Amino acid sequence: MKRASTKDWRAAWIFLLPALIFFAVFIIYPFVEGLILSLSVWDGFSPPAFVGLRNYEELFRPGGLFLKSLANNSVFAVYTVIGKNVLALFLAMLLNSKIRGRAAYRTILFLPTCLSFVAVGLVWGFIYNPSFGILNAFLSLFGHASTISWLGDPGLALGSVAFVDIWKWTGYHMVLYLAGLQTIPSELYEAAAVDGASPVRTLGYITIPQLAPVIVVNVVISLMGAYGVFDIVYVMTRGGPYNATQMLLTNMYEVTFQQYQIGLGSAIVVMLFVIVMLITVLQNRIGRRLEE
Amino acid sequence: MSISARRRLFIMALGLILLCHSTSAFAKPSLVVYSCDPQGSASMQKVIDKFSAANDCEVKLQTYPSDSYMQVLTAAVNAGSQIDVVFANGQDVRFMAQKGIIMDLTSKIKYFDRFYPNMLVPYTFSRKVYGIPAIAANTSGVYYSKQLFAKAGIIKLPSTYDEFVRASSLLKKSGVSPVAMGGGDIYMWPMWFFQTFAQTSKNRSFERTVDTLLGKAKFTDPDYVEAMAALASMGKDDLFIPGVNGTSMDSARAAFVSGKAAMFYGGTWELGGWYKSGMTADDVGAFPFPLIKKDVIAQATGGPGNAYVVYSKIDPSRMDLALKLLDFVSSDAMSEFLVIDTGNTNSVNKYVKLSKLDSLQSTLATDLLPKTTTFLDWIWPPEITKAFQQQIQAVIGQQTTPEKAMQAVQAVFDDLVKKGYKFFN
Repeated sequence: MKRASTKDWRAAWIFLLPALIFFAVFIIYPFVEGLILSLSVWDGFSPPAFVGLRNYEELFRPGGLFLKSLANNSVFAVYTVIGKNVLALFLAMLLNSKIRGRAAYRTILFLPTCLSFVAVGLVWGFIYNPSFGILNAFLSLFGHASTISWLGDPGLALGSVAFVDIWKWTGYHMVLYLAGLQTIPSELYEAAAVDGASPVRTLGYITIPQLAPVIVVNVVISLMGAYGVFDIVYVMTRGGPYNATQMLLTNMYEVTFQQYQIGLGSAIVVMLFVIVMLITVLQNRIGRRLEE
Repeated sequence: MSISARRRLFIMALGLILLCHSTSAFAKPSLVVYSCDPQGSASMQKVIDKFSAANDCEVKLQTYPSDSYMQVLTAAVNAGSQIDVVFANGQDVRFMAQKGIIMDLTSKIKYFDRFYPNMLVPYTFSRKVYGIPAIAANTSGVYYSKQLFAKAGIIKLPSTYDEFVRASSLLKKSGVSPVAMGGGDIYMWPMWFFQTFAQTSKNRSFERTVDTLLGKAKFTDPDYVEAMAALASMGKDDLFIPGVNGTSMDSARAAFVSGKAAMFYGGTWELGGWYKSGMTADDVGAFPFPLIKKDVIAQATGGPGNAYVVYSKIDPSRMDLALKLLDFVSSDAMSEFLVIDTGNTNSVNKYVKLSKLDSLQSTLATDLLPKTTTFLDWIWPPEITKAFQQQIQAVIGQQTTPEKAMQAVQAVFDDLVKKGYKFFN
């Protein structure tokens, strides 16, 4: 291959420069600034004061809200990752078959993905309303208690919010699984049918292994989404009742904007960055192993 | 490029610069006003339009929800955006004064006698006045549906807690919830604590709170625990709409307006909403918070509403115009207009007396307002306010005991003191 000339390098830099400037100004600089702030105490008005790792010590204090938020967020991640991926794969497999109105079903299932988080949170807040929400009204038709407090009961709130998140994003993951299913050679299924494989064995020995890279991508995306959740939780429960749905970002929001502890809020964001980095590293390792 | 072309370009650029400069020289003076009052913004805009026309200036009113305008203000301060005047939530004035965000107005305002003296107290720290009261003096009470009370056979309005529980029982039998409350929006829970603590502190809730923040008392003292225990009883006695901690304030208002709940505890700021929904004084009445103790007064909680404050780093060239704006919006004429237009009952201006009050407004103005004590979250640091919000929600929902709740609040305060907190007074 011909070695790039100085002219080629110049052209490359000219084309890359706008993106690099954008990246530096809107990604690198805020990240570095946030890192510095996480080592400071700052209320947004007085000059910041350097305090070293004190903010991080406070985050990991036993019984603190950060650890509770981390625990809640992790439980939320388990619910939503499993919920989204299992349901999305199931729906994708249904839609991969030749059924009438397939395109319409695909559109309907994908629609929630296009809705605004705030609108979704508000609407589901009304659906879940204990007194006049349609969910309780529907359940009362079957003789069940009609005043279940879906968002007011600490034992139910996290699951209720997770359900909404699953409802909103399943369509998105379904589309990814559908694309993956359509790349599986049909000869594999034909061969399995000839050998008399049951649907379950077909799923376990053909579909899942063939979809492995897609599954990894979907799991990682849904994991990142789970740890980055804010809007739906903030609109529906504000992290309550009694911190039962407090997530990392809702905790960060409260600490930063309602308690004016911007340094501590920045430390939470840095910890979130570490979590996302770990997920990314995991994804890369699994991806490389699958390729091998 | 030839010399003459370059010269032409230079002259054009110079002309453009001069044109812009001359345009800006003739530009109207302008003020930027940040407001935390979306409900009153339409009325305030009318007042501002009058001021702008009379002073040949431009006043830009930027309104944000009360629970988020401070974030916008923080961003604006750090971005160096123009900020001149703020219509601030009274709860934030102490913090803003302490942090040097707003200006000491003591020597800049000559018309303090326009206001009721007690309306200036919440905005006065170390004998310096940092804000002037805006529009209406707020109070609070238990709004009730006259039709639902009549239907349930409640003839006498409850004045004690036992009577309140009995009335609630009758309401439940008639098929409605007693009290609509949006417990999911935790920022409203402290108002309930202000009511109970006003009584358990023997009507010295303001003084006790100042003592506590100065370290002379503790949040775990018996009067605090008793006040929290009263709220726990309300949750245990099932006085609230089902699933109260999962209900928003908007849903709670909807439940009251639609007749699903017979009572709603709130401030005078709710009046505008009741009237807009079609309710009248024939439908809605108000009575004081029930007595939970003997030998005390059933005080209401409230205050002078929002505050007009001036940004401490306002451009000196805009200072006079900003002070002129404050004088105008707080004048008797404008205050009267704003009180009526926002559906309130009592102006913070002592010479403004509304003549046409309906029976509901009259109850609030004559029965409740004179017995009003200041909102305590105007004195609490934000961390304590947050702690109270969460603990009250938990106590109502039977998730924690009153004792543990107050221990949790005290723990937050102890942590603040360790980090150097000093009560700004």
